[in-house]
Amino acid sequence: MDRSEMVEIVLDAVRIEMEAVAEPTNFSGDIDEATPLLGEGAPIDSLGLVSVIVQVEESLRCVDGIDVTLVDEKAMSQRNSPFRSVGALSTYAMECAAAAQQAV
Amino acid sequence: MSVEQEVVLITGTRKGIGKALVEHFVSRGALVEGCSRQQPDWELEGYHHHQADVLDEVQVRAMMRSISDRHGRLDVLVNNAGIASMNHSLLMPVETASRILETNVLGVFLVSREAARLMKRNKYGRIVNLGSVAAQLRIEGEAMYAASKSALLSFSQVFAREVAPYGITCNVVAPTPVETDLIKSVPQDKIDRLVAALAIKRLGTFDDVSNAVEFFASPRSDYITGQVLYLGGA
Repeated sequence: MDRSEMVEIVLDAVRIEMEAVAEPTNFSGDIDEATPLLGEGAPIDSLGLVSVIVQVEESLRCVDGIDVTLVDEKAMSQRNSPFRSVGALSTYAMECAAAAQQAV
Repeated sequence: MSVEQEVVLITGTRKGIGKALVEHFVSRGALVEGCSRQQPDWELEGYHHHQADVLDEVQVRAMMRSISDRHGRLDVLVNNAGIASMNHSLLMPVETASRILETNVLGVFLVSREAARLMKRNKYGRIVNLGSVAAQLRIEGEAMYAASKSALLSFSQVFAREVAPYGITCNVVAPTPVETDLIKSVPQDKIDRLVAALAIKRLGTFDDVSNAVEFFASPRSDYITGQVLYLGGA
């Protein structure tokens, strides 16, 4: 899997969550790699981020057969959260997927 | 919930209350999955067994994957697996205390976490955790067991709030002692004192437990979450 495919998986997860939210957010415009997933300017709230992470894990497992856990001690201890933006999450998910495939 | 056959997962099904719950849900037409560390010495049509330890993340995830692959969903989880050890706190080995907490709290957390991920897909789920009146009655000799079940209550009530947006409820049934292996080592005088502390002065039955579990597991109980139902009037 290349990076652009991973970015698409993350973007799809964010779009699914945005559609699932009953209350429309203040967010307007397109989402891309620079879109924040945390704090001000994010198109989803903290509960939405939980759903996005679960959805990305599910997509990796169902579509690519890669069993990853994105939230672990390593993720939580990073100076810059790997969940801060679509791009950061994509990069981190690539690292996790590569590690999971090596472990098999 | 759709009109499809309900998919139910029960932990700790090899014997006792778990086995009785399997028979209950199978008898009313559910597709029942279950697990225990060892293979049961019985089989039942409509029941699929997984040899899995609720404390083993890899095994729990593999079980959920199997349920997902074969059924595509999970409607009900009953966290029944649990251990007890009757002992005065001053004589309780730390290894035993740790094992009680791990199985009765961490095991429930792990299975609930993975089950809720599967339930979330359909925006529907019922989680019923088996507590105990021990947490309420404060019987000497059950300090760690009662502590583990108190922790289970707190976990269930917070978890209920966390998964409510996904259409998942989480409640606790707290049975009185039922004639199972879990209490066979408990001295009769302790059992007698426990029964005496109840409003209804008798041991529980499997049917008492399955009736209460069924109530929380029902699709109609969609406005009930984070609750504890003590049997026997404890």
